[in-house]
Amino acid sequence: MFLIECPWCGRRDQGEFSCGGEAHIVRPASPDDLDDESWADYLFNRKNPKGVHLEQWVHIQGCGRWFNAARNTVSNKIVSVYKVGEEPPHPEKRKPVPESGQ
Amino acid sequence: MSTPNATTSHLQEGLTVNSSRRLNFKFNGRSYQGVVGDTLASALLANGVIVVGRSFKYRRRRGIVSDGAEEPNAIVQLGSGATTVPNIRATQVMLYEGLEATSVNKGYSLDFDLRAIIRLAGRFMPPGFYYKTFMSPKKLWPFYERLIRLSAGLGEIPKSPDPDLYDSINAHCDILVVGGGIAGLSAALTAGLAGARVIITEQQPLWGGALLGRPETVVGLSSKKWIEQVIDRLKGMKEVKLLPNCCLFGAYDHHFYTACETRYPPGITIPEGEVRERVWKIRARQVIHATGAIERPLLYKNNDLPGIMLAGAVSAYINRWDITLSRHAVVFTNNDSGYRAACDLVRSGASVVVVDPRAASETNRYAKWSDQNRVEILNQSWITEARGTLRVRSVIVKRSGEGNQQFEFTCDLLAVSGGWNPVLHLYAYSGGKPLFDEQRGCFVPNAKIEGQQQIGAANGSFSLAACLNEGVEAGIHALFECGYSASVPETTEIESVEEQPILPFWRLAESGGEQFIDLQNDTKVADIELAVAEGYRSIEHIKRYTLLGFGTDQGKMGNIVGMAVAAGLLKQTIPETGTTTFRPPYTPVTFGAIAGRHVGPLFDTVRKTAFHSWHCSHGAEFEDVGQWRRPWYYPREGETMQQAVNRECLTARNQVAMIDASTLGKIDIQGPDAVTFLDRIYTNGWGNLKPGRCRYGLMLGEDGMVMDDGVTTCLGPNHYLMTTTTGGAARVLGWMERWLQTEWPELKVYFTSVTDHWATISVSGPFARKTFEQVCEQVDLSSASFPFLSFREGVVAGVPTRIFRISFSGELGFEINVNANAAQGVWDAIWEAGQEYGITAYGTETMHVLRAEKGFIIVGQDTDGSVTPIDLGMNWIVSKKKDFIGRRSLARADTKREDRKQLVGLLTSDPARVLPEGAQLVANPDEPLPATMIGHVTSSYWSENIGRSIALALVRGGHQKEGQRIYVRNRDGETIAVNISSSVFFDPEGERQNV
Amino acid sequence: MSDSTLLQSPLIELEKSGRFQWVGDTIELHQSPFMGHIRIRGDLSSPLFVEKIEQATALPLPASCGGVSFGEDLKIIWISPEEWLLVLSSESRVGSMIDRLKTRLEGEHIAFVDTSGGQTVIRVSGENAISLLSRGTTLDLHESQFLVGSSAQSILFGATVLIVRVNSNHSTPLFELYCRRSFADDLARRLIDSAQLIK
Repeated sequence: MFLIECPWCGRRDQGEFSCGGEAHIVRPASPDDLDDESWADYLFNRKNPKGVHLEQWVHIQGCGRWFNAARNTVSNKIVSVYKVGEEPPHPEKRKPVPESGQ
Repeated sequence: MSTPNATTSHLQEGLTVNSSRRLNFKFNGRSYQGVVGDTLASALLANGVIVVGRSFKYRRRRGIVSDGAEEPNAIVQLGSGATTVPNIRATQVMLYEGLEATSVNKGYSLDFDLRAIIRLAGRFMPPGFYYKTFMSPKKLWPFYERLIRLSAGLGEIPKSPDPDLYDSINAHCDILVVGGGIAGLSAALTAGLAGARVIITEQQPLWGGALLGRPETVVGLSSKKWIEQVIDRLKGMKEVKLLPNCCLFGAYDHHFYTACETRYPPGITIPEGEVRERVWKIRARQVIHATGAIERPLLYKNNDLPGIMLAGAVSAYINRWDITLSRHAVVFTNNDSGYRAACDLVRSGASVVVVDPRAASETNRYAKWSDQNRVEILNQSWITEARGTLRVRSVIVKRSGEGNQQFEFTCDLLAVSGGWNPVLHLYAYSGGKPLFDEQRGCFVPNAKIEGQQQIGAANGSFSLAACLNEGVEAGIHALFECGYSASVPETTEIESVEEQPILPFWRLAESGGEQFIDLQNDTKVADIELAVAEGYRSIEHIKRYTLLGFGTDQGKMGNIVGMAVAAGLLKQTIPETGTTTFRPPYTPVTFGAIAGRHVGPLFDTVRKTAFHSWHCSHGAEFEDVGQWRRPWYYPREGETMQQAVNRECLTARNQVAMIDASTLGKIDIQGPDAVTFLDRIYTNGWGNLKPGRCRYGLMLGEDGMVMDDGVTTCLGPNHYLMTTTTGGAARVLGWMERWLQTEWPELKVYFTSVTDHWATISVSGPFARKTFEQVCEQVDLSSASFPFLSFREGVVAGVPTRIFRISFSGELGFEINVNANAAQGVWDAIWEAGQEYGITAYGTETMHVLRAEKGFIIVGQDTDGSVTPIDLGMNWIVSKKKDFIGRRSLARADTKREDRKQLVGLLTSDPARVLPEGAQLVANPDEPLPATMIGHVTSSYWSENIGRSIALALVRGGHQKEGQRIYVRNRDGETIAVNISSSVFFDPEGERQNV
Repeated sequence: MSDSTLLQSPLIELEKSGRFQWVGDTIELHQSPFMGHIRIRGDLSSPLFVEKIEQATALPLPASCGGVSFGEDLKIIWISPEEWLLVLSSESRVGSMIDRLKTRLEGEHIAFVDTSGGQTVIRVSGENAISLLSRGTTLDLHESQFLVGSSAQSILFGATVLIVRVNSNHSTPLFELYCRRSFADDLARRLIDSAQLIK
């Protein structure tokens, strides 16, 4: 159980949140124009990196707001949180960090 | 042998034991006496009980080797009946009056164990023994398995439910200090003085840690006085929480720790209402690990004999518990700490020989002492063998140089110190990778983990001075990180002592025989040798092949030695070989503690509707639907479930019936873009839905699969009420919020859950109108002015309500939403009005039968996340005129396949036969197994209304197969013939609901 | 719904005589049923919305997490950046309050939803109140972290609960738990169960 900094409510236990998976997946404006492969890519294919992952979270048991978090999938360290529609943290901040979390 | 020995008794003065208060206890059926302050282990030793158990595999006699959590041998079962607990370390349980313990591994008796015969066959039980022996012929395995299972496992589990209470609590602090020894206490004091919120845990009931077993003075006070003084000061601090008897067993992300506090020792009968164990879930900002160190054994032949103990434990039993352990002792040590045990042994009156593989040093501070006390020190010497049958009687010592002299020393105790392993479990649990320090001969913490510090022996700093100082420093650092200003408590200088460096050595090539590494699992040096010879290289594989560290002690004592031996055999360094993975819990935790109060009626959250009391008083049997407790059926006196459901089904079709539908999810939708939103989220169109009208809708995931369904009503301009399935309520609201917040923030619409606000009563059946009109005011209920799929507001039994003409049974029906606080009166009024028409209440089972008769799906039962609306034959609800979530996926090649599993009805050839739900369907009944499965049964019931069984199924290409015969293949090989039919079994024209 | 004798609270099974309560040495539990609960939705950045709400309620609209505005017989609790809970002393006042709010904000994108039947309030007080609640929530309820007069929505004993620390005249803490009706009976049973463990 880690802690997540909700942009509205502050630091709360992970149990109050749900993860929505990878963030910044752009929904195609006109799905009909896509072939099956491109549509499937949008639907199913995800990065699943070892290291910092930009993902969607919702403070489902708190304020109910969706937001984005940059989380290191190895250490569970949350590098930053930012609101929907905001730019993700600078790529420099997303470099993989050592497993000990530092 | 467990006969009392005249030489072992409590001395006059005790550090912590109170020899005036005697306690009676039983061990393996015999009665003994101990004193207050004893652990079970110390009491056994004081009574001269040397053999405490048999080893797991070879049934060798084993004695107490340690005084702490690492104990591999003295593993006991405590108590009896429902509260018995297996696998308790005798070193960690405080003695109480009436304690009854048995060894978990004792065979028929400790003196004579029939299964010790296995010992003779020991050389035939190498690693992989079972696998190699029993893998063929395969047919015989079940027979062997039974035999093996008989001898497997440690201890017995209780046969009846645990009657005791277990508590759990969340706690928060600035600084968590783990370990109440000198380092931990010093850190906690520093932090506490600055006013920080501090929690300090200690696994023992007494504070002081290793200091309890040592006679030294600390800052001018006796160790006992120093401990008392610090504890007194900590107790006076409002923000400091002291948790003795509390073993911190797990470390998780972001400084989340779990600890188990023992309120009453295992086996003791506790007063009514008291808590036996309490789990603390601690979230800290800064954590200080002062977890101490565990002493290592050394390897030589028969190093598992009773009477061989770790040197630190020998000191503790002498100093803390005042036990005279020995008259003639040998100390085997590769570091200075063994000399402390030698000093303690001398003080307790034993003659002592010290065997030290290190060369004699001029700076040895023990030289003068040994002269004065006539202690023989043999430098550059090794013990190669311990001898004795029931316990150690002598040791063989080899001295290097001058033709390798060999001596035999008689002894009744062998105290061993192979150096110390810092307890780095918590560091490793949190992702730390320990580093091997050649100088100190042990693993130490490597890269710092943010917010975490290791101090004292846990940091490889073994002197009291270092422990005290590191405690202060760590406290100040943690305070600084938490934003407190710190001051050093007072001068804490202790004179530090020069120690000779350790000579770590792991294995003597020349000593053969039985050299045990893991005493609990009987893993020997020879086993590691075999594993390496057979090609195992990874320490994780060697561990699993040899069972090194697999016991309930998790190899606390032997693991590092085993890894070092493996490294030697693999001709690698220890760092190259590495350690196995440390995983929680540090010591075993009872299931009771983990479950806490989530037992019995509090097992899971229970949601109840406003009519729950009524259901109870009308004899309902309940079914859990998600967290909801819903009436399943209402049996009358003497009725079986089937009889009750048949009666309810008939009444619902022929008279009138009511069901509590409050659990349906209800979402209030408001805003100028509400219709736009509904159009995007549902497959069908909503633009033309007038106020006062309702419409059924189907929701898909973006993958085109059915996700939820329900009726949505237009309450007024830009105002809708959506209903969802009972189980889907939260998911659907979350789903809608997600699309709104992340994809369509420009849409002006608000969603509010009103599931709990509105209680819902569904009245249906041919007499529904006649029943309902008696209690409903202000609404013309005639079909002409209040047609099917419409909505009115009205007063029922004096209460304002929302009334919907909808039905899930296919009958004339009214669904009434009423403020839940006032709902019971409305329910009662309808129930009363329906009496003259024979009204019945019905539960979820009848609801399922009625809807299946009509071919109405239940999302999650007839669908499973891989079913499209087309698969369900619901093309009519999929709009061609607009976009909606999931639409593009319906055009994928895979979702357009004609041979997808499609929803059909099934009619058994034998109308009385009810198919099992989940049964697999095949086309050819004669195809040998494994047969080609073409689908499965999703819903199956006896329909009293139709007078036969009915079923719904998903069948490959089923829509084209109506009328065809296929077969159910049951688990037991039985074949049942069925015909594919329409999925609507009753009133296919749908006329009954429109009347 | 003027006749409250016809009303049944969510804790009816636990009510022995009249209203639900459980009184121990260091913990007391009481229910305040049948209060008015209105969910307010609107745009905080709209001055009109804020102004009209404040006019209608005579209370400031809390602008951030934890915020609670206390009035004579009503309060407004922050739920999310666009949602508030308006609590009235009685359910019977809900209709007129919603009318008043709607009239003032005619034509605006707002929502006022009556959830009075779907919620109840359990009051937890006494010197061990924090110890009791800590058994069911991961929130840090220490007075330095959870200030008097503030609120938080979180999980309490498995249910979504809005917790308000009320300013009481007593030195011991007083919390109000705003809980959904269907969870209330389970929550109350767990509170009583844990309260019995605290000596």
